[in-house]
Amino acid sequence: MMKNSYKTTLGIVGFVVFLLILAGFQTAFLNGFIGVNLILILLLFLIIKQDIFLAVLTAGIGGLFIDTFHYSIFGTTPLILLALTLILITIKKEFFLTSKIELLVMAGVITVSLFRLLEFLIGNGLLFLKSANLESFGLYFWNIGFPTEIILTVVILIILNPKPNAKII
Amino acid sequence: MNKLTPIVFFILLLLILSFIFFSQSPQILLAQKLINEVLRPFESSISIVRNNLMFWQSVILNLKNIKKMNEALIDENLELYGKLEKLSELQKENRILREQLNLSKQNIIVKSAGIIGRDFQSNRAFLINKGSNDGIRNNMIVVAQGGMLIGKIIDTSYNTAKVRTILDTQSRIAAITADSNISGLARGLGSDIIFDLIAKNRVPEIGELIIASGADGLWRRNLIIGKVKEVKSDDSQVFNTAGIQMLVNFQELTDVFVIDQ
Repeated sequence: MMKNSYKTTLGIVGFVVFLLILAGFQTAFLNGFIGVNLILILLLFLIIKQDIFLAVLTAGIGGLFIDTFHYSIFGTTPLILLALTLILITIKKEFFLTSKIELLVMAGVITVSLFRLLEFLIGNGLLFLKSANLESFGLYFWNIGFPTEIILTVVILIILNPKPNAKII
Repeated sequence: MNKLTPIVFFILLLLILSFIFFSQSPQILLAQKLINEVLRPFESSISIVRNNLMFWQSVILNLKNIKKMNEALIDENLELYGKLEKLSELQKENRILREQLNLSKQNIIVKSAGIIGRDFQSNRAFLINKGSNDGIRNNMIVVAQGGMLIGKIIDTSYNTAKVRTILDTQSRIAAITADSNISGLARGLGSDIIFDLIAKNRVPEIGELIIASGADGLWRRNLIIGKVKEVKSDDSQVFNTAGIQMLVNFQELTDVFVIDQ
């Protein structure tokens, strides 16, 4: 019992360090090259695997790590990711509790679209409260970055091929 | 673990909401700075790899153009030698005139810094590898080579600083066209920038340089914002607007300069 709890704690610490490295790679390398959000993909991967505890950690802590130089208020990205986690957990039974390719495609499209919609609503809302400044809807959806992110997310998800109920920690 | 999940969720949610609603409190700012400092070693080393990769990628992709560009540069160099001679004469004349007018040179300190992180939309915020330890403070102006305006420092931690670029929707700069002196407001649109609030009877030329006018007291005069790309003049609108073509590719930018005035 004691040994198991020790292992779990160590696993969580290791996972947080992994999130730190992933966030560093995302912000220092990927963001300058291609528009794909690794934290979002990891979140979706974990939800499909039904590892909800790690998904919540990814949303909260991973979100905080990538938010350190977001253009919006500090804390916006983890809030969006936590809200997204809640929505994805609610709809996963109906939509994508499987690893069939067509359903992974649907999961990718839904997740990226929801993330951008929540970013528009929550991020914009907070920005409006702070500086009475509203951004256009098109800035989040009407650009090449949106379909590119969907395609890359789906491709990475298919490569990772998450299978439900295979616990990581 | 499953029993713990809702508790962890609510703890994280409360933590994040407190980050948002007490974003200006010293404790939250300290936490943000700590996260920055923890991330910095990873980002610094990864950004070095990224910059090298970007450099070689651009070398390989532009190999054909390099020879042509080299020839053009040699011609341009010769032309510039001639201009330089004239310039040194003008410089002497300028110095004499300054002395006569008793004008002191503006005391400008410039610090170079490397970009070590970017936000997800890539161009709206940067993280640079110089912070309060190097004398960087909020509201300092960040430029690229040649005085191209990049943005402003909005947050500093011990070894890093966050730059809000001029593309961000919160960015507004009192601007003026370099030749025709048409004034307006350069406004970030998130992924683009426009020259707004141009008087209805004034139309800037395509290709004309747009510079900061300094009229807002926030941005130094003469810093280059970009070139006029297109002019939009609609009868139903009170003002004319013009699209601005940026002269710097923000994605390829690896080093910047911070101006301390």
